[in-house]
Amino acid sequence: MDLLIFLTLLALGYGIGRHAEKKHYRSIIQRETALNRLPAIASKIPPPRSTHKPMLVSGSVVISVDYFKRFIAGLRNLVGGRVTSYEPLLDRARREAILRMKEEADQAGAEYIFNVKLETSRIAQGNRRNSLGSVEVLAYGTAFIP
Amino acid sequence: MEYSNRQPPEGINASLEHPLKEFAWLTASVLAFFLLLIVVIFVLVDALCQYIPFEVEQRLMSEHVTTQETAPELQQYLDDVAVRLSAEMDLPEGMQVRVHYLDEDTVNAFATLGGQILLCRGLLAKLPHENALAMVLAHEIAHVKNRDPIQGAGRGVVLALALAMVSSQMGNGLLEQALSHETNLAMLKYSRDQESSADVEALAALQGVYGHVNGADALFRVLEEEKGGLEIGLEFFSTHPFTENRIARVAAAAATGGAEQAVTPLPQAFAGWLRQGGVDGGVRTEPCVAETGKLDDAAPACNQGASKR
Repeated sequence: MDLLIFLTLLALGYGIGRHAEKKHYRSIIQRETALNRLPAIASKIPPPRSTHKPMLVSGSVVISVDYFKRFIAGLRNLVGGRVTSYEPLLDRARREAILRMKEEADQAGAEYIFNVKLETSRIAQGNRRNSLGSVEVLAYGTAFIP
Repeated sequence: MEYSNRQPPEGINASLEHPLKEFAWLTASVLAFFLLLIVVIFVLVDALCQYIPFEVEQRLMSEHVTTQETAPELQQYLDDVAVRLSAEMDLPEGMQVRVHYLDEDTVNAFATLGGQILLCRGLLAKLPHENALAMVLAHEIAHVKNRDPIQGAGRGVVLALALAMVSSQMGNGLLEQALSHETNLAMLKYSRDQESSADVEALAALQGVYGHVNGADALFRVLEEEKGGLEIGLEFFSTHPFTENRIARVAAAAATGGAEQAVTPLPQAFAGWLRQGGVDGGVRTEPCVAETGKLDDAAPACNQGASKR
């Protein structure tokens, strides 16, 4: 019986998770293409003699792992190696956070964003075994508005 | 200075490989590892269980098997045949068998932990003569002598423990079953080799007691009839050797040592004893094996075990 529940959760996690991931990637790539006109630069040094007005912009996203990915990662824990099931998840989270930051800057009419940084924090609740399995990715930087 | 962002290429930070591929690899390798582990443990169980003293088996079972109320003459007769056969089979020191009568329609007999042998009424009623009965008893005594029940029980516990790692509910259920005495009749499935060697030993015992093995094949004919001749498939996949092969073995044994000797008939009152002990006589007996109202657990065990003879 609990094997049945397990398999159902696994199939649901795989089906829904995979669908959501593909959809999210499509949306990310489309918005990135559109916002490439607003460069986000990691450099701390702004262009010299700039007359732009600086402004803090940030974007954050919270993502959770699905049952299927968690199961694969659990097996991966036994044998070691690259946890490929979590990689697209974090990749999506980072790009989404940068996009949200860019969207904020774009609304303020910024020309570019400097000193872009990323931070990740784990969101935990309850005991270790039933923890939430979510992370927040925060992107922030200094937007320069002409 | 001109600043720009370009579209990052895909497949660097996140693998483009299909997740099911990784899933299949990981599951297969982990499963293969556990299977290997179980095989190793099975080999160890097989090798080590012969060192478990027989008294331990007896102690495990003694409180749990109660003899059903039956005709005392029948019990006396079954004990008598069993004693004569055991004398021929030179059981190790301290090993005794106890024969129990089961008021079940199932055409079956079992050997279980502690030298307990259970004969179902369904089988007894179909046996044509004493030699067939002796074949049943000798076969089960041979299982006891070869320590097959403890080996089967050991494997059952190991398998249940392994399952408990994967699925706690399923594993715990099975573990409980393996450790509880009422149902481990159903758990004890013997391998083909164990069955064959029990047959061989049983024939030797019959030869010793009666001076011939005539009539031993009657048992297999009864079993075959019960199955309705549904023995299709490869012998390799079945736990019991094909009935034909077993009958052939009897014939071979008969050719070497047996003259044209007559079989020993069952006592005249035998059928009457069965009726008296069973429901037909109106004397309702205690449930199959359990003492404490575990009829539900015990009864299916006898039926499920229909493949063990």
